[in-house]
Formats: sequence, C-alpha cells, structure tokens
Amino acid sequence: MNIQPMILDIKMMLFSKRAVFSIMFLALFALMFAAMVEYSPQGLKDALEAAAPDGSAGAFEYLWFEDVLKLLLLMVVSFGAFVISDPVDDETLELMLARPESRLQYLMKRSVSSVISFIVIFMLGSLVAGIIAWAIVGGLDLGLFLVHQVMIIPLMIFVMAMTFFFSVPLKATTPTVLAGFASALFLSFTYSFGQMANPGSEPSILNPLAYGFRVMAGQPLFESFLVVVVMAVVFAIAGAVWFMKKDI
Amino acid sequence: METKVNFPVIIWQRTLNLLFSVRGLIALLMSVYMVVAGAYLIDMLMESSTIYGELINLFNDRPDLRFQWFFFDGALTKLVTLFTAPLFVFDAVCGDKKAERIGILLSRPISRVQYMFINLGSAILAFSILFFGALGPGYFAIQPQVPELTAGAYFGTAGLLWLLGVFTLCVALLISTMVKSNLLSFIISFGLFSFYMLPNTMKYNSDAMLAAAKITPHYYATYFTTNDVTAGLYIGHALVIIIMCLPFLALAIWKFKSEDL
Repeated sequence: MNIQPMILDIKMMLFSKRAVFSIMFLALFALMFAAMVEYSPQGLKDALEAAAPDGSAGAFEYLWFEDVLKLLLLMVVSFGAFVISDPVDDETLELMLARPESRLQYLMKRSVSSVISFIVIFMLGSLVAGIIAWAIVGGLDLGLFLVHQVMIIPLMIFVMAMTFFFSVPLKATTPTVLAGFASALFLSFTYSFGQMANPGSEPSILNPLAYGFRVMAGQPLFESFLVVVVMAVVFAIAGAVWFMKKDI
Repeated sequence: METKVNFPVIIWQRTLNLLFSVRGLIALLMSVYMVVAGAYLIDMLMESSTIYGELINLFNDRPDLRFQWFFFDGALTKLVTLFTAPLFVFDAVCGDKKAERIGILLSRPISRVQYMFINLGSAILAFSILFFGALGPGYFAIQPQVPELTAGAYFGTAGLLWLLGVFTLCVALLISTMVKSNLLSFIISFGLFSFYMLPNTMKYNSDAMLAAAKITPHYYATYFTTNDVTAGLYIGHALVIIIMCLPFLALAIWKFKSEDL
C-alpha cells in the first residue's frame, strides 16, 4: 500500500490553520478558565472545589471537562469532516478517487491521517493548556490532567466517526460540521443536565459523551468505554459501506 | 427595459431557505432543547441547598432575580451568541464566493451594499422567527414554576438578548466577508464569541473584569438580569448595543465594497 499520500495528508494537517487555531483555542481557554478559578472570590472558589468530583485533578479540570470540552467539540468535528467533506469542498474528491485504489483504501488512508494528526494536535494543545493552567492554578495535578486528556481520546474518535457518517449524505463541510457539532452537543448537554438534576450520580453508560465525565470523576470506565468504541466502529462501518455504494 | 428587484420578496425567500435547511433545523432543535431543559431544571437548580443553587447565588448579586440571571445570563447568552445567531450568517459572503455564485448574484441590478443588507436582513428575520418562536411559548412553560416572573421582565430581557443576537450577526457577517473558507468563518465566529462573553461571565470575580465587561454588549444585554428594569436605562442599554453593532456592519460593507471580486 502506498502510504505517501497519507504522510502528505498528516503533514498538511499538522501545519494547517486548523491545527494552529485548535492549539490556540486550547491555550486561550486554559488561560481564561484557570484565571477564572484562581481569581474567584473565596466563596465561589470553595463552591467550585466542592463541586469537583473526588477523582478529578481539581476545580479547573472540573470546569474544563464540563464547559470547555463542549466548545472544543467543534475542533474535533472539523477533523471528522476531513475525510470526505474537505475534498468535496475543494472539488478534489473525484480526482482522488480516480487513483488506482479502492474507495475503502481511500477511506482507510484518509481516516488514519485524520486520527493521527488529531491526536498529535490535541495532545500538543492539551500539554500547552495544562502547563498554562498549572502555572496559574496552584493546586492543579498536571500529570493527572494529562492522563485524563489521553483517556478521552476514544471519545473524540467517536465524535469524529459520527461526523464522518454525517459527511456521507451531507457531503459539504458546512452542513457536515453543523450536524456533527449539534449531535455531539445534544449528547453532551443531555448528560450534563442529568448530572445537574442528580448531582453525584453516575451518568448513563449509553451516552458516549458521558464517558468524558466518568474519566474526569474517576468512575468505573469499562462498560462505558465499550459503548464508545462499539458506537464509533458502528458509525465508521456504516459510513464506509454507504460511501462505497454511493453514486458520487 | 430595467428589471426591478423586489427586496422584501428576496429577503423573505432567503429567510425561508435559511430556516428550512440543516442549520435552521439545528438552531430550532437547540433553542427548543435549551428552553425546555431550562424550564424543567429551574426548580431543581434554584434550590439553594444544591451546589448549583449556591453557585447561582454567588454569581448573582440580586438573589431575588435568580431566574432571570440563571436563564438569560447563564444559558441564553451562550445559546444566542454561539449556537443560533452565527449559524444564519457565517457563510453568507464566503459561501457565495466559494460556490462561485457571487458573480451571478451581483449581475442582478443590485449594489454590493444592497447585497449585504439582503444577507443581514434575511439572517435577522430567520433568527427573530426562531428566537421569539422558542421564547414566546417558553414563558408559558416557565411562569407557573416561577410565580414572581412577570411578562414585562421576561420579554424585556428577551428583547435585549435579541439585540445581542443582531450584534452577533453583524460581527459574523464581517468575519464571513474577511475569510475564504466556511469552516474557518464558523470556527472564528464561535471562538471569538466564546472569549467575548467571558468578561461578562466573570464580572463578579473582580473589578477589572467588571470594567472589561462594560465594553462588551453582553453586559448591557444582561444588565436587567441582576437589576430592576427602568424605562430610561432600558432604552439607553438598547441604544448602546445598537451603536456597538454599527462599526462591525460598516466594516463588513466597506470590506466587501472595496474587494476585487
């Protein structure tokens, strides 16, 4: 298998505006939310510390998982749109499919490039964000924060797989990103509202977006992890089968 | 023979296109979801014995206006500036350029300024239909649970939030004029407004944040969620938000007019 196009795709993604904006957003959100935690009045600080689950790395991480990650889903979705929607918008999809390789090979290469570049950018951004937050917030456990960031990567891959699935019928980047982002937000808000209604409870394992909360709170992960992986695989296979049968 | 362009019809058609599309559906679902969830959760969250109740009281210096603060300042500013208003305009100009429609559109007897006002007008109309369509019935769902809530206070605050939405549309239109990619335009709008609302969110944290919040329209749109409504001040705040819209709109029009297409 010729992996040259894959390496070129990864290089292109790593040095793209998408990568720069993603890392910049992670860093700026860390700056703002760390300042918010550190410079809050004492009463508010105490309330945030009390709200943070025992297994978390502190109040900053609690806010990061509950608020910032919802906003960062947009970044994740944009990587999911890379497989089909980007070439549709650039009008290069037909050209790419004219190469002597099957659609499945095209999807595999493009998906692997997207996932690898996402993981590199996300971890780099998380490292920058973690260092900024650690420098501002006194009690942040940086190591635990970074471990939790690594642990939520399957969740991010699920969101990418779901976006890829939407990109098959919707094709262009705009509707694909909107549909992927809205679906991920709905799932995310649903478990958050559930947590607000029953503080301290365990979120449903059937909601893949609740996996992030479980990681942060140090709750049992195995079943929830399986649900995330199975749903990601189902979305990826369904999208791939649909794409291979589709008249482009 | 000169063909006359019927602007209200064009704006209305474009509004319908916006509403009956993926983005319209997403904005509608998001609005209904937030209003229904807000109404459902109000009782629970405003219990001061819960951690959320305590946070609401700590963030809000007028506990007797807890609902207005929680609903408008806490939830609807995010809904309006991040999840609904930008959806109607983020690809207005860059989308037409990308799809190579702009030449055909401008070959009609309309000026570039008129083209921009058609984009803004249809986005404002689509946003207004959705905003008041969700918040109007929302009042009747929420009021029985919050007896102290009056229609005047609710719809008065909603009016200022609507103006905040119009401000968002003006800024997103400028971004759409400046960038080439739809995705980039959406990401920049979303990112910009995520940061732009933070000073207002953190205004009770320190005097510096309060001062910074006063240069954002969010402060004026949400002022009456922690203060009693007075007619003069209300009109003053509405005017401040409208004045804040104008430079962004003027810049968007100037940028598009001076562009070599």
